[in-house]
Amino acid sequence: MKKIALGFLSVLLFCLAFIATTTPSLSSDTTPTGNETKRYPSQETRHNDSFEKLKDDMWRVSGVLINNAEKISDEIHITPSTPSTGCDIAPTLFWKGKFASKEEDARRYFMEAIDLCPGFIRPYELVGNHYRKKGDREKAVAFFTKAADLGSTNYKLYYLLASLFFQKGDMDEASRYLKRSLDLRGDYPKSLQLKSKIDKERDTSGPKIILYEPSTRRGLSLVRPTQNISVRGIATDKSGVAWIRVNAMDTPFDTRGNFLKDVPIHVGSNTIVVEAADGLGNQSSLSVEVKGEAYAMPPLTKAALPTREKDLYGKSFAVVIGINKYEKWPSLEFAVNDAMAVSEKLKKSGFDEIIVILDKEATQRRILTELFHRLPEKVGRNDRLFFYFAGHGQTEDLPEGGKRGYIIPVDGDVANYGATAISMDQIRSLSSRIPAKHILYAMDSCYSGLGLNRSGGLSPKVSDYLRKIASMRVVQIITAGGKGEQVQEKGGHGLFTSYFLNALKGEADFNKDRVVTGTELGAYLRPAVSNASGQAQTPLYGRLEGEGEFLFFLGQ
Amino acid sequence: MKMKGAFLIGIVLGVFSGSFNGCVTKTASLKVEKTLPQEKLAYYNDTFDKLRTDLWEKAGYTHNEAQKSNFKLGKTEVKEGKLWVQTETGCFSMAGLGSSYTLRGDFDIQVDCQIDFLEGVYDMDQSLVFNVIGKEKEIGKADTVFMCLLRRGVRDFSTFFSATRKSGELHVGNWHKIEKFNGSLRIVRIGDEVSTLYRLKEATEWKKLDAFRFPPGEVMLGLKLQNFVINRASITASASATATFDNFRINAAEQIIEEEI
Repeated sequence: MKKIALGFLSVLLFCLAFIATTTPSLSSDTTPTGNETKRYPSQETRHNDSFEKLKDDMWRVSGVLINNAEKISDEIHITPSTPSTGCDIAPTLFWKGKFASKEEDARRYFMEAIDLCPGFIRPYELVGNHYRKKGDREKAVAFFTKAADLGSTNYKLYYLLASLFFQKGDMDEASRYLKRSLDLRGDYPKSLQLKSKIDKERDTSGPKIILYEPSTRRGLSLVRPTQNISVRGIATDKSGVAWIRVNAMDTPFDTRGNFLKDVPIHVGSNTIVVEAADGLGNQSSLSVEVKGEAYAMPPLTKAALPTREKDLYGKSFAVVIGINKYEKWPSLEFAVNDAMAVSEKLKKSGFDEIIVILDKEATQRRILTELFHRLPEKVGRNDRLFFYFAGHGQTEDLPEGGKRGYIIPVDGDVANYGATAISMDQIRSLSSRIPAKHILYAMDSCYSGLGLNRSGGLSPKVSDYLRKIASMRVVQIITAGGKGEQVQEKGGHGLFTSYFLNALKGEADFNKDRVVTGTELGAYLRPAVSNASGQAQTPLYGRLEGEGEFLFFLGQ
Repeated sequence: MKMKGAFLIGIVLGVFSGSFNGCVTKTASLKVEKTLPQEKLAYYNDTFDKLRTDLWEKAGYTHNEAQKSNFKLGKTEVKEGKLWVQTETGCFSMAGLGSSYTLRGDFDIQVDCQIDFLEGVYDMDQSLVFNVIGKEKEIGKADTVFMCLLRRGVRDFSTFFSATRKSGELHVGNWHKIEKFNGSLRIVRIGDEVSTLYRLKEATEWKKLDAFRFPPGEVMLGLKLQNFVINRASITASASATATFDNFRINAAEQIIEEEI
């Protein structure tokens, strides 16, 4: 039987081949080649019509024959046919829906496609949109959400979902879906427009402005000599800060919103106004009154020469930290020794209160508590504060450029020091919380990115100079070295601390007035430590604010 | 008898005159003046480095109950930077893409494609289509212009032609006998005239295949490979047909209409 069938099939295929081979030649014969003029089938001649008919006839004949051949093929099991599944049929219904002239017909086709193939994502999107256009928000969200749950990668779907939640006033959901839309296509104009609307809806206030300097504490009237005053602070806003102005002057700011502007003040009352706007145009402002006084040099007599710290300072505070045994960082050998030695030296130099924090005591929490809670309660406007740290330091490269320094407390994490250490920004902000007249930070560790103003050189040798600089506020800082440098150790101390102690013994008293100023300290330590370390470690010195000088008194 | 002899001679001559090299076409230069700027069009160009679901929907459509009851979507995948399409065996099958947007007014679109027809396979057709299809009517009755690389199961040779179907009537234009195809297909509409053009790989100039009158309404685009012609009622399809598409470009378009979703 099979042989008979195959024989019959061979004959049929031969016939088919003959007929099929002849068919297109007819077409060619009636469709002249080399025709360079336009030819529109609807205008073809009757000759062509007869060709079409003949051709159709030939196709039909060949179709019947091939159908017969296929039936025989089926019988002898050449290739078994496979019944369609629902998901095979669904695309046809989907495309019928796409081409349906009536919305309701389209929806019906799409729903049939969904019934046949529940995992077919696209019909859910189109049905959802049908309901959205009809104003049925709930059904629209239901179908859209189903498409999203099935894993749609259609940025328009997520935009439409976001816009529906935006209309409902659910900004969190709107933002969530909008993010997905923009993740899929970041430049989709409709999503970008909606993002702007959502941002505006969620953000109606201007940037938050905090002034570090001058202080804005309620009721405090600041008295300043007539000169420029540094206005320093930070403006932050979730929509980004667009601009900052101090007394109507455009003021530069970094990516975090930190700004600094020197403004002139006059004798009498001065109002400093800081204004800022966010990316949406929301504005805010802050003003502070500053009283300006003409600076009058106090009369000097020999007896009144400031030879003792009590003449110039109310109280003297020091925070001294030394860490050898880190929990997660490599141990150090002499950091605790250094801290103890510095503490002893400060006691002898007339410091009233020295807070020593060593090793396991020196946690991030303890240090921050000491600096930001206890000290501000104790330190007054006429006091001085010395902060000393011997331990690990780290410098981070910021993604937007620039650097940020950290001191590492005993519980600081190696990988996550951004969260577990204390940044130099935090240390610097201490100066706005503590009204001390003079603050000096001495860091026996290496940093970069401190934004220091380099020292202007040694002080002039004038007898009334100390009184003048002692009356002016200053925040100064000295570090043991720059980023990437290794802190050296010598004779049981860190090299920096070793020379720091020498400086306070009088080696940094360049003008022999028995007083070592912050500037003298920097001027001494920088070359001394650099030379002693073979240029492996060069201290950095600078002033963070103010024109005064931190003073160490050497005694008689 | 004489008539029949003359007819057969005509057939033989026709076969030879229909060969690809002796084609009807001429070098063609068509320029669409009314167009969106290139930077806008660039978004829609597709080199098929990935399957862009923002531009395309998978094609799959059957024309009658017999096809519908025994149909499977073919494979439509991106492979080695090309759109690779393959039909399934044992059933009616189609693979390819339809645009998720439409064009209105004048346009000029092109795509590279390659197909090596299977020899000696008689239980299926092999039909590669690049087409534009009007959106005004339901899909089975929509007006269309298509370029087709076709090997019917009933034939021992393959053809390349373009055609239009308007109001249900099929008008086949010029055609050529081919063995395989590796080149580019192009469809240009200016006013109410649609021209079909092709360019073989390595050739520098386009050759015009046909020009048809076609209404200037909205059209969507299709790139597909299927193993059946429209009126085929049964199939065994013992083999898979395969083809590739690449470098789809909209050279010019007066208007591109995106779906809301």
